[in-house]
Amino acid sequence: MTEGSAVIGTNMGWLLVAALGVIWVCLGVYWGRKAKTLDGFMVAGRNVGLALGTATAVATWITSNTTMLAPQFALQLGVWGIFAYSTASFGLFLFAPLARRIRRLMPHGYTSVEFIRLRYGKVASVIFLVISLFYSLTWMVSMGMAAGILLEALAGIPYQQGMSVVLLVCVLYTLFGGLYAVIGTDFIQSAIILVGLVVVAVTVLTAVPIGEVHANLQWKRPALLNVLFPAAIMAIFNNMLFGIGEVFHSNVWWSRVFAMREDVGWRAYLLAGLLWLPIPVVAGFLGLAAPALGINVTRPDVVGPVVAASVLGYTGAVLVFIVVFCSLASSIDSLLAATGDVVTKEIVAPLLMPNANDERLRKVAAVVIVTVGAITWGVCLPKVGTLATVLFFAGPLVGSTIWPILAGLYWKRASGEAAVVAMVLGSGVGLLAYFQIGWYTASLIGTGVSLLITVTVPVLLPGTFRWSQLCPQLQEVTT
Amino acid sequence: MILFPSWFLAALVYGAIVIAAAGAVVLSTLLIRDFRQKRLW
Repeated sequence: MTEGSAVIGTNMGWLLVAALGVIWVCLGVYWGRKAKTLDGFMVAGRNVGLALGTATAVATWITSNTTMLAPQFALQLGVWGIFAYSTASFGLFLFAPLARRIRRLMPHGYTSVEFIRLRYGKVASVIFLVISLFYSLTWMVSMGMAAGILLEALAGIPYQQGMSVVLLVCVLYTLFGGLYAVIGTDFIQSAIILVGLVVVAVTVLTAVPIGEVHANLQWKRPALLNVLFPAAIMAIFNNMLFGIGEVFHSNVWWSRVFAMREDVGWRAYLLAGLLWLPIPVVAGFLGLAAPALGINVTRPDVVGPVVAASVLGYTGAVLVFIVVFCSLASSIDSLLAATGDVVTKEIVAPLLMPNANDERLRKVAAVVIVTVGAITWGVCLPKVGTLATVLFFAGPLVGSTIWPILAGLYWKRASGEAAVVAMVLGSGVGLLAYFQIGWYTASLIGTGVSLLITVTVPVLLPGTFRWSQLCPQLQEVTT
Repeated sequence: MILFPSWFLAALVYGAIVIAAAGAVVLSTLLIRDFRQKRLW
């Protein structure tokens, strides 16, 4: 079998897209009844429990990149490539204590940019906002592109049409239901993805035993089993830091902290990290199984779904299609909601509508979600590069925010000046490494430079900060 | 060249499948518990 041939047929593809789209939009409208206020729309009433909190973190982190890039990693970097992708779960694990701290320091907060503004001042918040928006758009574009590529590969739906309809569905249900709809649908999507991937992996193992996969790799591509694969080992640290940077800085994760009950956030993130950890391994295995199945790999970024579809047959291919659609929607909706919050609260409200009340901002947030969706669609329309290229370009930028956020949450001496220099130089040097050395070093170097500056500058020029500045109602936190 | 042995690959893949399957069960259990206690959201 070769890649590129539609697996389930265009008519079935459109039928599934229509059915899933109608279900998500109806659920969005249903849950949207609870999202009439600004708090309801942006942070789901701040009372989300452990089940929905965990599921939303898992579903959001299982992007279509997980199902597409993990097999690609495995095919290019071998067993270490699988490990490298799995280390993205460290972001969720390490964010757990931060979630507790954030909820305690900012019980009425909305966005991560708001924290940086209150903690480090306006200049730092503008730089952080630029990084944050660039990252969000990059992630959304990679998701939109993935939607087009996957629907084309699996169902023969033309790229532009597939990408457009997935974005439209996500915009609609996020628009109607806000974070309530996002979190509610995330639960269903995460359950479908987990069960679907287990079924796919077990079926692949039935078709081609693990010993055969190993023997085939040993014969045809032994480098993929190499214990000492320098580029792959480097990719582990790079991917881990990229993952940590993504979670630490992105409002996708901060908005969930504000949405969950105070005692729920840290437990939800710990559990989500554990549940997410095996997903890249299962998906990555599909990439390693490709040579043993005699699949001619010409497009590494769609090897996972094609392997699954080749083994599972028509019915299984339909399952793969549903899993992929869920993994796309669960991330795009979260990005739309979180980016909409940031733009509404940190750009539109202060600059254009300083006196707007919550009711007015609730309406503005809806307009912003549509606008963000439209911009993403416009950028996705031409295919701008491979998924890995698009995604990892943002690595050093988000890596440079890790230490300013960490220091800002726990260290009173951390200063705005240090945060500004750390983010600017960390991003700059990291991007230089991206172009001069390779993508697998960019986050590592960007984060390292940022760490050096975040720690050394406040030692020489210490800042002073009172935690109560983050929330007027808050008593001084002494820890 | 030192290669990962076959048993290592098997442990990795089977372990991941077990954790993923358990994850689906844990999520369902938590959902039922939160629903009964009216603590979904």
